[in-house]
Amino acid sequence: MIRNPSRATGPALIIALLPGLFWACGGSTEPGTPPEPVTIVVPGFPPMPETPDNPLTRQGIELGRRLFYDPILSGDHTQSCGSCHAPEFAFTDHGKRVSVGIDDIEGTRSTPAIINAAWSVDLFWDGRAEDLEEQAMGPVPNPIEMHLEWEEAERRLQAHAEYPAMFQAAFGTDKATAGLTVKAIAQFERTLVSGNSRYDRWKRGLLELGSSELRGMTLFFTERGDCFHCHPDGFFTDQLYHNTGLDASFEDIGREEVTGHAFDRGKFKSPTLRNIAFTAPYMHDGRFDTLEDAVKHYNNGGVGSPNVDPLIRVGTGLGLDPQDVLDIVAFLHALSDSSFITNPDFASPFPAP
Amino acid sequence: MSRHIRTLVLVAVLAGLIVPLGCGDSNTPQIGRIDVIFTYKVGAAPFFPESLNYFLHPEDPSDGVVFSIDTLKYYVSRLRITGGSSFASDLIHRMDVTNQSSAYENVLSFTSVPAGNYKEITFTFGLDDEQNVAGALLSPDNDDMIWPEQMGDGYHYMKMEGRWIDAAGDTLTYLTHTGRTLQGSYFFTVTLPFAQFDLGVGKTMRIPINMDILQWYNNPNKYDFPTPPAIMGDDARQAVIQENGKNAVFIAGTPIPPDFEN
Repeated sequence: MIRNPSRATGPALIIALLPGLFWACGGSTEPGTPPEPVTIVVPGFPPMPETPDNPLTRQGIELGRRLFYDPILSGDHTQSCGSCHAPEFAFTDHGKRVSVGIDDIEGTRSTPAIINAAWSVDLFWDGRAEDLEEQAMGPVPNPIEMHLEWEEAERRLQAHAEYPAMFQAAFGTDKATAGLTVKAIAQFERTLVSGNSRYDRWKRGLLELGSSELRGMTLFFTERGDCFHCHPDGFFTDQLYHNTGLDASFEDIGREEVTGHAFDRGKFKSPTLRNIAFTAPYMHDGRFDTLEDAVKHYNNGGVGSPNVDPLIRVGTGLGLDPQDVLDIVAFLHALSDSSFITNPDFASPFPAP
Repeated sequence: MSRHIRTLVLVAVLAGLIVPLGCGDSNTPQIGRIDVIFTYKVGAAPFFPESLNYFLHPEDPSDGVVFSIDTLKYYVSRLRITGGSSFASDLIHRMDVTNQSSAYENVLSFTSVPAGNYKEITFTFGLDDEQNVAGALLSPDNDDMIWPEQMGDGYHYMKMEGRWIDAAGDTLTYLTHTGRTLQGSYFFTVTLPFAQFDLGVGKTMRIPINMDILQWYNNPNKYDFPTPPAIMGDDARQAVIQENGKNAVFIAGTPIPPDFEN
């Protein structure tokens, strides 16, 4: 059953608006003061899903932001969440085909962007985490990522000069548990909202797009380019899993790892195309260096396999000419939101080394 | 106290006892529950997603095309159940048939149906133009059904997708995506009579509705999968699918109470 969405309401002390986030309240928190609720409202976006088990608060977001960028959560104190999810690259690991952990061990997949993750239905390329809290629980102890047992992470945070007070302010307890740590990180990640690209501003009537961008948009949103089925307007992801014809057989079985269903072999979640120009290389394994390469893959039709997505034009391709490809790439660049990657509220709170 | 007064007091006391009981009865909601259960088949065969073995045109043996249904999702809206009594719902129901591990059925439960007599069900397949408005449905759960403004706006009525094998033995794909084009709307109303029943207060009845997927491609119009497979901008094909959908895709079975067993 579907009902029309209602606007989020509540005693919000901080309201985030575009462009940028305006923090209405600031300053330190008196001991015993309850954390201040935050509501994020984005013009043109549906209400942010509520998270009753982990409501957004100013103190929780501040703590999460600090934890996100603090290498204290890695085994050798060299890597933070932000090491692989850099804001200037739309929270990806720019230039790296796949993620690399603290022991220089390569992962198997490209670092997913963190953009509008508050609305995400499942996380990771294979959707194995149901929410941001579950997602954040994984990388810290993962031996090929941050490689630190949560018990040790809790001990470090508890012994820290500032963190216990920050946990107290955010959650009403000074116990720095793994559960509260991931809740704080998830709160920060929910603030990483992008909805102010040139395309968004064009939709609001604030600017004109160029002729190539407009042509690319038409190709994108019609069956000529047929990009919209997996990347519909709004969040530019259908939140679903597809075998996009990259290979005939699969070393990385993708979604099948989660479902155990053979028909999910080689399927990966459609990433958002917002800020895609900042997140090269492309695909779950970073095989394409440029957006042009990625569009050409779809234009060529990909490779057949038993469960290749019916949307992939295996054998025939899309029939786009070289200018069509360039126009689609131009439109993809119009989805870049410079205010997102430069937002000081999203940046590391630590001084640059 | 005179006998007459004692009698009045007794009557008043009894009335005081009886009236509240009577009020209690009249306050009981005169409603029951109806579950509308959508099931699926492919001609005479049971429906199983991803099975590449259904004949597309079984009445035409020379055709030989077989196909699979890998994705089937659609909207049902404006549901009405009528007879001596009537029930109306303007909720939009998303039916996602293939995104489940078993029990390929969709159950719509209506728990506040006026008690009384019913003999017909009507619904809109897809969304009428009043309801088919961009952004009207909960996002992101329905973002996979968005129909771009450049092609008519709103949402897909239905996405049926899968594979098929042509006469040369090549495996191809099809995309039966229906919705509103730039030229017109292709939603339609389905009206299905069923064996009438009386819904008692606090009781439940189930109305089974079966979708025969093969009918989308055979009756009254034979429909072949196009190459390339995209049909969202093809009004002729949208009209054919609409006409077939109206005709015999849906059949209502005999309503039964939930504890009914053969």
